[in-house]
Amino acid sequence: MIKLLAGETVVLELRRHWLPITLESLVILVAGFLPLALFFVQNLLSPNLFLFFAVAWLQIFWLAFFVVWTNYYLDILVITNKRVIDIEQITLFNRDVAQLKLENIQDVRVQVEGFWSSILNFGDLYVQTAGESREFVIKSIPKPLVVQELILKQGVWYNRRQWT
Amino acid sequence: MESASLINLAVLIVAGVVLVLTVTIGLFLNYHWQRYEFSQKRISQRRTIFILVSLILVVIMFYLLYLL
Repeated sequence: MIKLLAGETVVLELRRHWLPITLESLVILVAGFLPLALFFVQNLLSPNLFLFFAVAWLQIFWLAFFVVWTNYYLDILVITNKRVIDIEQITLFNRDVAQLKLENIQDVRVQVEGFWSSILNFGDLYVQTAGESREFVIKSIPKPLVVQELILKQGVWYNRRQWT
Repeated sequence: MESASLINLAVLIVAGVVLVLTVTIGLFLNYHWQRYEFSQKRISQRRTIFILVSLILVVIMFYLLYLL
């Protein structure tokens, strides 16, 4: 859970685009049901024994699907009126949380690369911060140009609030 | 050891491993959802789906084990 600062409000909460997770899920689905599809063509094992292994296999892929889904679901970009928080759930036990203060953001760059990214409007967002040479990369986000504009606008509003 | 009892042993090991994996991964997933998710209502639905499907598959698996 993210603890918001005093006077901080969430402007946008965004997850990765649905295409990568759908493709991963499809692979898991096909792999999970593969032994069941072979049920009628195999004659090595008795039907019950074969079904037992097929169901055990399916259960393992069901677990794999939920691990993949959890990694997708807990990957989140939060834009507030003070910060940009990028939470990346890399694997089940590997979590990376980056917080960027709006005043430190210097440049926001968008890269939409490839056929599907262009058609479905998703891409990578690169945020350059002051003081550090590190560039933050937020992968496969939907409507990247809208998000880019929103971050820049929040930055401008934040600076105005600071000066008034 | 006879091949029939070897198969029975293999089947029991597979069933045990799958059961332990399901419970362990299920507990870890639940821990992650509770700790990091904003909306507990949304996650409760996903938890129900996960548990129900896992339970159905494990019951089918053990029923087939009983039939062997």
